[in-house]
Amino acid sequence: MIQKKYFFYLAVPIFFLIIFILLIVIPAFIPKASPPTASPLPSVSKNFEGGGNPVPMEQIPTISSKQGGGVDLNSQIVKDSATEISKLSTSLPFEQELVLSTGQKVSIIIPSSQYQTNPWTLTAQIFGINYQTSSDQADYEQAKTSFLEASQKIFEWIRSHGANPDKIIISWGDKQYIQQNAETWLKSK
Amino acid sequence: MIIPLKEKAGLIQFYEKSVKLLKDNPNTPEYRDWLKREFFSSEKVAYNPLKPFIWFLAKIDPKYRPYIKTNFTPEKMDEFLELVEDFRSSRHFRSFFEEYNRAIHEFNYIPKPFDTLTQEEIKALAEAENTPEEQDRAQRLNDFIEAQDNQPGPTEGTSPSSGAMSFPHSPPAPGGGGVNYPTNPEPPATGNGTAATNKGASNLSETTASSRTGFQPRSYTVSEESPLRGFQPRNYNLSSRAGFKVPGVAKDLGSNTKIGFLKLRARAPGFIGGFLNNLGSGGLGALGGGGQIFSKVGAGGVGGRLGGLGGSLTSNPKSKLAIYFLVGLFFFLALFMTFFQGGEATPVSEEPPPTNKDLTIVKEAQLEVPNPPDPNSKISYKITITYIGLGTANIEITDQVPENTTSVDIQDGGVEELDGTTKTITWTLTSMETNKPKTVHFTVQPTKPDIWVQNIAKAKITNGPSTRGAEDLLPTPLPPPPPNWAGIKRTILDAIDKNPVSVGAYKYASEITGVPWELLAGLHYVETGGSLSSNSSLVSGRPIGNVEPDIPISACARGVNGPGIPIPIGGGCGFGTFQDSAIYSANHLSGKINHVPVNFEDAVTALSRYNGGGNSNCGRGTPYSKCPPEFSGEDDPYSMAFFDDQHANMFLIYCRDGVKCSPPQPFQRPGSMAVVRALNER
Repeated sequence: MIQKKYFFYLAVPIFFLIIFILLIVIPAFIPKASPPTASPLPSVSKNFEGGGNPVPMEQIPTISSKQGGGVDLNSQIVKDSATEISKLSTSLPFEQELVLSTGQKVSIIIPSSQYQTNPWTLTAQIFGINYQTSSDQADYEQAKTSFLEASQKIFEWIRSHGANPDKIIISWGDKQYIQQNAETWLKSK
Repeated sequence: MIIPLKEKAGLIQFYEKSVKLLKDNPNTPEYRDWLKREFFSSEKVAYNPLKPFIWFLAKIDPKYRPYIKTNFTPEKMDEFLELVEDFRSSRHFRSFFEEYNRAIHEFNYIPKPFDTLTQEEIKALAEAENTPEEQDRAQRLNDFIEAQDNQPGPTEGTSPSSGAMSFPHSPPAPGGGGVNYPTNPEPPATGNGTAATNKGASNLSETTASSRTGFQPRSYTVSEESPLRGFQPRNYNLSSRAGFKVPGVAKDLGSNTKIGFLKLRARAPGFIGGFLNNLGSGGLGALGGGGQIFSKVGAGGVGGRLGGLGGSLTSNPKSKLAIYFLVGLFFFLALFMTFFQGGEATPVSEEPPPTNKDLTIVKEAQLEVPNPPDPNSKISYKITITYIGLGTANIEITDQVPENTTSVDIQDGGVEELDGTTKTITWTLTSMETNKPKTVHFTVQPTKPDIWVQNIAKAKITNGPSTRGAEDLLPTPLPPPPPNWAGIKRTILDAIDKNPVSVGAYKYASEITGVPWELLAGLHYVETGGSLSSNSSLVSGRPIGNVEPDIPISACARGVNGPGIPIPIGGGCGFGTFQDSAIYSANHLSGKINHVPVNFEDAVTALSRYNGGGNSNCGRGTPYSKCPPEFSGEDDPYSMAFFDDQHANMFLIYCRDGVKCSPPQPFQRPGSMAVVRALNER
């Protein structure tokens, strides 16, 4: 009698365990829905309308070298830029990886305030684009399109935080050719 | 495990060599020559520094214990190299330096620096250690230390008392933290005067010292130090090991400690041990040592009862079979879920989390002093602070003058400030180098008789980001170097050694920005084509004071200046000093990844982006073969050329900014990471 009781005590949990295992086994062999074929990274469209026109470097008011040189901090352009950037400062950094319509994978980094050069210039970097290219090279159009698509993402982000990208002085990178190509491409859209 | 005094002393004497042993590249002929000369030559038989070195390895990781007795003759040099290589790649690597630091503390009472001790003095110390009393003391202290190690470590941010000692037969300590005296109303006749409590805060360390008035003055000093670390249980076991300094009070301390140790250690295995013992012995375990003992502390009783149940079950053969079956079923279930349900096994991190809490603080004071107004009633405190992190640190020590006392002597630059009714003394120690302890002192005068005076010192790192070293930026293990690495390295190091001013500026920029100075050296080396000069900027290699075309005009303005800020020069922007260019570059390097580079991938990616990234080799029609890159920038010669044998054949895509090479040209200079490697292997 006691033995039967023991068997009963053991049989019940074993039975439930087997049921439990079956519940686990069966779904494992059911074919899962195929994963989406799209890239896991977000992509952006080729429509550049509504993008931004940040202040080009050549339009930034400066003071003469006789008077000390550098940016004219009293100019409205510089003041406006500082005001707009201040709206973003609490949301920095902005980092995103994108696969563009060109197939180019890029990384966008707008670093946090501690890595920004000054309060009136926004450093916004798009990595993965060949900025050294020139119009006579095969990859020029791809680089240009890639930049414009990615920069659109930056402008969208700026707007989403209540700032106006058209009033911001943007430094696109630490090389002269990066800034020059970026501004040339933005003008051409 | 006890490291003999002689071996500790030996290691301290040969510390520099041990560091070189661990840090230099073992794959070079120079290293082998040095090793042979320093450790395996017949002249070194008299006192072989390998022995203390191995004692330390064994202390850090028991798997090295068998090597303690190995006689490393010249024929066994390769075997020794394998051992070193194994340790280099282990997660305990950093612990070596912590253990060394601990050893330093243990010798604080010796009246002269250890590196000035003679062989005779070391021998005398070793002999003193061999007396029965000292051996007994050492054994009991060691038992206690290991008991502390065996306690489960607290999780990060909470360490209420784990770093402190417990003395069950001692009086309650006033205030929190420090020594815990749970039961006995009477103080020990002699006991500890000092203990350190780890608060678990990010970079704050505390140490407590208690003194009592009304007794005959004694000069006993006991110190427990508990290094401040980010608490992870694994890490805690290593770093919480208390280092004792017990010039005279050891015997009394030992008896108290032993009781505390037994009680503490009993708890953890009580429940599990009682249960398993009882289960395994078919009920007899209910009378076993584990369950019986631990029922007294409230946990073993449950273990015993469960063990008894297990025992009665296992007494029936059929039930036993069923239990085996159930256990097997559970194993099967676990395996099945892991492999077939898509459940990925959670990787167990072997590395302790990165920390910037590299402080140890030890406080000492007399245990007892006579009652006031006896002029000998003064309590003199000595606080020893050690920075054990990388680079240098500015450290602030604060100590609130205890209640019922008044400060009478503040030394070593301490400043006393009055905040309401409390007085706080602050010491600011700047640019503390790693493993170089500093001490500060102050003295208070008790104002009441028969009181306990408890005093807490706190220390924190104040210089912002902790500076990392080059070793953090290199992969482990290091891949084989490129051909002719010895020559490349010599060229790099020669160029750097010729520019001590530049190195000073890199280090200064590193302290401000947190970017390892070796990375700035690498960056500068590339920008100047190897012609380092403190007159050429880190941005472009152009002379300081010239316009930097790569810095946009928006970056500078009249009257806006400071460390790392460009200034207006001519029609553009540039730098007034070399240091400013270094700070600017360091900040912009971090801005490429939005944080200070902390590992190999960070460093390589940031360096490539700093250089524009346009020269990445993969997909550009070059013979460079290591494609695709493992991560962004790995195929960029500016970062990686000649770093290892896989990056010895890289190419320049653009010969000048915007001017494409046709065809791509071999890149014949070392990239920045090769410079970092060379500096690290020095």
